[in-house]
Amino acid sequence: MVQTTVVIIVFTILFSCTLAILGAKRQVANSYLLQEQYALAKNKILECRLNAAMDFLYTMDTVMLSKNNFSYDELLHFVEDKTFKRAYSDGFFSTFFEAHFSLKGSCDKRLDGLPEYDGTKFYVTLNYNISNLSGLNVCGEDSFYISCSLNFRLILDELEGAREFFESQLFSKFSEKLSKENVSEIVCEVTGLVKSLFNCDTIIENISVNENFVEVHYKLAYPTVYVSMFEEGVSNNIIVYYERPLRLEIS
Amino acid sequence: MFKLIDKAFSLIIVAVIVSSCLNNLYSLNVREYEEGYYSRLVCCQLLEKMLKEYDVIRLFHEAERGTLGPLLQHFLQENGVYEYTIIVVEFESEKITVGAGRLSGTPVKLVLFMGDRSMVLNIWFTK
Repeated sequence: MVQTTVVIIVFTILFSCTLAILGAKRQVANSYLLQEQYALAKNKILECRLNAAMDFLYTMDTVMLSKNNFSYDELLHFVEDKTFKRAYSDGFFSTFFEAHFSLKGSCDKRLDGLPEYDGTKFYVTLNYNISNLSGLNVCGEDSFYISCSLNFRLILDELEGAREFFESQLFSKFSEKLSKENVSEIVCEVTGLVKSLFNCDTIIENISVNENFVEVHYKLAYPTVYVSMFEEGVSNNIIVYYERPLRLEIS
Repeated sequence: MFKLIDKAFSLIIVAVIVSSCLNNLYSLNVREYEEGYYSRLVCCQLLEKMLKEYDVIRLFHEAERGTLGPLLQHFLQENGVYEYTIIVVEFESEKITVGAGRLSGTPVKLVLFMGDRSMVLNIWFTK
């Protein structure tokens, strides 16, 4: 009776030790698995960031190489907030992302893996969902910025500044010395001023003088070169223009 | 009476132990897990470094020109992992294989898109 009890106790202790070792091993193995999943998920998040940025920049590149003339509004629309989505699988991981691109933001984390340009900074908010066949499911949000080769802000500001200057100068000069005879002379003078102060050309499409008003149909053109980010050695001479008829009442 | 309790007690213990052992047996090879984790971690680090060094757009350009193989070979040699790393790049209908070592297990994959084209980088680290 005593012998049996001793044997049982010894066996119990031995098996308990075995169990403890097995448990510990299992925990270590699980921690390796977890760390591995974490590393793979981190890799997939980087992939999401890059693919989101590539989708946006590639679309921009295609549009900027597609033609030579862009209106101010087209360019303005181009830099408005945009959203890109993509869902794909590599056979093991399924990935979905939705990326929001905006000129507004304050994040100072640059996305590595893409070239740095002197152009415009776009701030990206990325929402991702990554899952795999092992049951991993990672959802999250990330933010960073990317840059593109064209300085949209500079072009838009330059055109806006030139427009304001051109119109205010015409108003003030017309109010000072307007007569039907010297309209062309005043317009020509202001056009010269615009050329000297801004990188814009002013094209006067038409001047019509009536009894009660003068209408100047003008076009401001900002010439620049777009260097492709995706096609090596390819660039496109583009003109961004702003045009409208300006009506000045004759009192 | 005591003998009966004794036997029942031993039987319960043995049953518990056997079932626990069976449950835990599949995760016995910790070394395998450690190696798996280590190799995948190195693969992820290599991919990250590669992207930092040569950006995505350059990788696509090199693949288009047919010079991605030598570039990746240089990268692996520069980082001293050429003998233990294999990179297989799937680009359009091509397969570019760089590196040396024995292929085992599942690779770490990176899927990249450039417009309607895609590139899949498969990487194995086998040290």
